[in-house]
Amino acid sequence: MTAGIPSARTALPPDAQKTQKLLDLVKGDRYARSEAPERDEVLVWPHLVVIEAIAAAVFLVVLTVVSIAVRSPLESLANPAQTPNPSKAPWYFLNLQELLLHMNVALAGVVLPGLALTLVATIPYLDRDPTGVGRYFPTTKGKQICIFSALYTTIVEVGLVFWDNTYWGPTQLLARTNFESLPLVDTNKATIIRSWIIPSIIILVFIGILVVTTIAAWKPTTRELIIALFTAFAVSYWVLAIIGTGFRGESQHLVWPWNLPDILKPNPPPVG
Amino acid sequence: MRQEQSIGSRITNSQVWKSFFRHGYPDTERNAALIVVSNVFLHLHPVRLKRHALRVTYTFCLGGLSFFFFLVLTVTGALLMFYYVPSVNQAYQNVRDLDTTVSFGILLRNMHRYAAHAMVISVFLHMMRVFYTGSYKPPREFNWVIGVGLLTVTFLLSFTGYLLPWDQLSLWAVTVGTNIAAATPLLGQKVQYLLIGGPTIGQGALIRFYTLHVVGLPLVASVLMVVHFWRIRKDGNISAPL
Ligand code: HEM
Repeated sequence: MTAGIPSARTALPPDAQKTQKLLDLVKGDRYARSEAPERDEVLVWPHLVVIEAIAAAVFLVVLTVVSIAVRSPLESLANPAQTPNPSKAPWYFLNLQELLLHMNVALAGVVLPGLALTLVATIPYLDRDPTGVGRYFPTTKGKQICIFSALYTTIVEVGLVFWDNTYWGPTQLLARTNFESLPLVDTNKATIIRSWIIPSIIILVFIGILVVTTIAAWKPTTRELIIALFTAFAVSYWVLAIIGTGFRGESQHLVWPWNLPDILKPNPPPVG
Repeated sequence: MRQEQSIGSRITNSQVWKSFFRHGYPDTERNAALIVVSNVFLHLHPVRLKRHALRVTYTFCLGGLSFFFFLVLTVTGALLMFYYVPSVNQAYQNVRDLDTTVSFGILLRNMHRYAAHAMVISVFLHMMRVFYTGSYKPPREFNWVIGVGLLTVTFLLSFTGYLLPWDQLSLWAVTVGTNIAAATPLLGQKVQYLLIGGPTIGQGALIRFYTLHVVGLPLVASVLMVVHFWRIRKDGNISAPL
């Protein structure tokens, strides 16, 4: 725009008295109002305020009723000398605690969640296509990819958890494999192979299969590919949290929810 | 009858009334607009909105619910502070007293706890709705980043609160959590020490978690929410199909 000004000036007739000066650039309104604002616009008072008030009232009532009906847990006084079995993080971190069972603590608890959140934060800068805002799944492909990714992630993760629970699962298999006998591998390196490298490869392979299948089956846009990955992230969060909450009993062994040890059951009797 | 009417209008015409309510009853367009722009709480909203934005099946009220839970947590949390002393010798007994002797103490504690769980759920689901409706796209990219910050702070708020009852559940849940932090490559031990103020979880950890839980993190969350809400307005209110 500024580059255009000098040329505009030279185009003026030589005897021009008045010239215009560019004072400021005003960006156009990208969210152009529709032709008839009266038709599809409503007043916030009362239309939105009423919905908000109803939602707040309903949830206040629900919260109060639940709080009257269900008692929060309170166990015995904290005792650093007595470790409960199992010890569990709060439910919203049990997905990380679940990962912890299959790989290095730092990989499961710091690197993966850190990477995931960072990638999530960069989504708007990866998907540069400004269209498709304001509706759920503007494209049918996107919807199919989302469903596929959700099913794939659930099946793979449940499968991996079961597999890793067996004699032939990666954890036990790797523990039996004698990496130390390889040339140039000492105990430290063997641990790194077992708990960092192999788990990372397994994760990358399964993400890779998701990406390749999605590309091959749908020829997705960037947005649609990100739908596959974000869905895998969100579904992993919930699936692993559910496994960690409902299916891990004493010593983090796999159990059915009804066989969970008593200390993990909700709604404990009142203390004292 | 005439008498009553004149009392009513004398009240609503009085200087006191008019200084409180700067417009008539919002049953006209003009007054409905005025009530939104002249009220500090309502002015978070625009005066008008696309009809589309009202559809509950679009937002599922999740952003609003997250904020609602935050408000409930602030109120119940402030009340809990009257009864709670962040000392390893007193904390557990204080919480037990809430459960057994303080009037409505158990209700207060339950509401605070369940609202905290609910907030984690609603914030995460809100992120999912924003993603699947493509609402992070220009010009809302920055607000999405702010949102990821809010998600992180929500987790931390919940986690720091988890230690405060000082029972076996809280001690060991937080031990699991801070052991993970201790595994951070390179900085691990330092991070853990910074978090729990000592080699193991004790008074140092309790006072740190307490201070973060009641002052530090709520402040950060409030600032992020202010920015979040401001950005929603500046980005042309909530997203709609073009
Ligand atoms: C404490 C947490 C949060 C609160 C209180 C909150 C509140 C809100 C509210 C009230 C809205 C208005 C529309 C709606 O209700 O859906 C909104 C919109 C939005 N939120 Fe959040 N939010 C939070 C966390 C997040 C997170 C975790 C993200 C994403 C990572 C996010 C990204 C956005 C974006 C991009 C919009 C604009 C959506 C649109 O224009 O349709 N927010 N938020």
